[in-house]
Amino acid sequence: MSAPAVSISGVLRVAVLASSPAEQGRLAALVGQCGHRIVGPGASPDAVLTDGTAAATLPAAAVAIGAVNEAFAGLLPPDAAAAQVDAALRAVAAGLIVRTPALPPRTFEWLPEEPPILLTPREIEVLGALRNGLTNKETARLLGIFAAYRQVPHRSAVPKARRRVSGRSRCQGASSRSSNSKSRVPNRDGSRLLRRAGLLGERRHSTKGQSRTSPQAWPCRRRTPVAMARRRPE
Amino acid sequence: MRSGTLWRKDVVVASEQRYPDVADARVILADGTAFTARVAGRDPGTNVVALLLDGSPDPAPLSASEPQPGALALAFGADEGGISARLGVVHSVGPAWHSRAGGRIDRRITLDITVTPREEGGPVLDAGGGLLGISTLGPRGRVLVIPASTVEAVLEPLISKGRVERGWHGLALQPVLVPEALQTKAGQSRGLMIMRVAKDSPAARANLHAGDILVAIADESVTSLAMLARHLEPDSVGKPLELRLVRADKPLSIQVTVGIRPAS
Repeated sequence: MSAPAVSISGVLRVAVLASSPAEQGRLAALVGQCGHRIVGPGASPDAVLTDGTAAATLPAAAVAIGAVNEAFAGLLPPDAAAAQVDAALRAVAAGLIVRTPALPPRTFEWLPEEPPILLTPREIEVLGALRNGLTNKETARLLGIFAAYRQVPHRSAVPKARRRVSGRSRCQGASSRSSNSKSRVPNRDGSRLLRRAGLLGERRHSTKGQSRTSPQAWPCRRRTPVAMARRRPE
Repeated sequence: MRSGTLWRKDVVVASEQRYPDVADARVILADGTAFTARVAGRDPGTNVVALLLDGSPDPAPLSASEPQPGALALAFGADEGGISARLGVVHSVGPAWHSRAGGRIDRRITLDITVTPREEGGPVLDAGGGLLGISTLGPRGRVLVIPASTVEAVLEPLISKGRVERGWHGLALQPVLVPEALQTKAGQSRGLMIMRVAKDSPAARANLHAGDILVAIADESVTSLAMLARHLEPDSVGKPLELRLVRADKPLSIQVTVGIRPAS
């Protein structure tokens, strides 16, 4: 690991929080090898070194050794050397995030019995337009279809693509709670459909804390309740 | 510190996925007696590592138990303070499944408890004291059980050869839709496209190429990698396998002799 571009030089004041006396001693020895000073958690440390079992309220940015909890600013493998620990402590003290390529560890998983949902290029284009919040007319225009609105082929392509990924409606989940999240932010952009089809990765960002009525919580064109009520059924 | 299960005299099994890459270990039994052990073999396919001890006592025999959904399950492990135990129920029981590393696990048993990585690998018992298997951490922290029958099946090759030799053809495959014009010839709409052929592999010797679409093995349609894994069990090594492919708009059949998956 190379030293970060932004770092704090000099001796740091580091608090060590571990689940057992043995682990506490091991982490304290690492801090000593780095040349830093160990202080108590209440003494306003520059950084915290922990084995991942530290209290929820940390007095400073923490480097966790051997943990996979993304809440920690720094995550290092269990066999991290003193030089790595030193660089990570300086980085988190400077406000940076430290991750190593080895994390998170692989897990023991099963091969899916069912084959993945496979889409034609046209279906991928149509679902991509849904994801971007385009209306049927806009989708037709984007895909180069200039026939009369009610006769354009993609009017059948949208529900067909939707059925392929088992979507119940154009904006599947708009009024239902997501099965994977406690957030009630509706998925109106088709990203869930694309994710089920394997065209998008797992959602990495959290929508926790966003207001239901906040524009940021609505990833695409937002319809007002009035507009929703007037919307013709498909 | 890792948890393990004294499976029989002088043999301890543990979870392979987070077991460090070491040759020797120190095993401390529940009564505090310590033994020096060596790693006899590891199998990522079933997530089992076998350690051989010298002079350990013979554990009390436990009968293998048939898991039932809703039955109580007691998972043991080792933690800093000594023995740890977690009580829960069997969440679900399913049929045999294949891991991504190619191993076949006899039953898909999930528990509704959590275990830490340190506790993984300990024994899981039912309310009657029957042995369900050893605990292992699955995707998204779910606790699975490697059934006792699966552990028994891999233990002998692990001790004698250090690994479990499974079938290998040397293909990297991707599920694809068979082009509509070829679906009639192929007899199905899905298949597995060959993305890469390993050098000096059975597939390379059989003249398979990237771009071929594999549609059937031994007259059995294949559309997912799990279907393929069933044909690459340890007993498939050395046997011929009839592959039905679509190459350049034409169907063809090629026979491949299954090899041994490389250790890496």
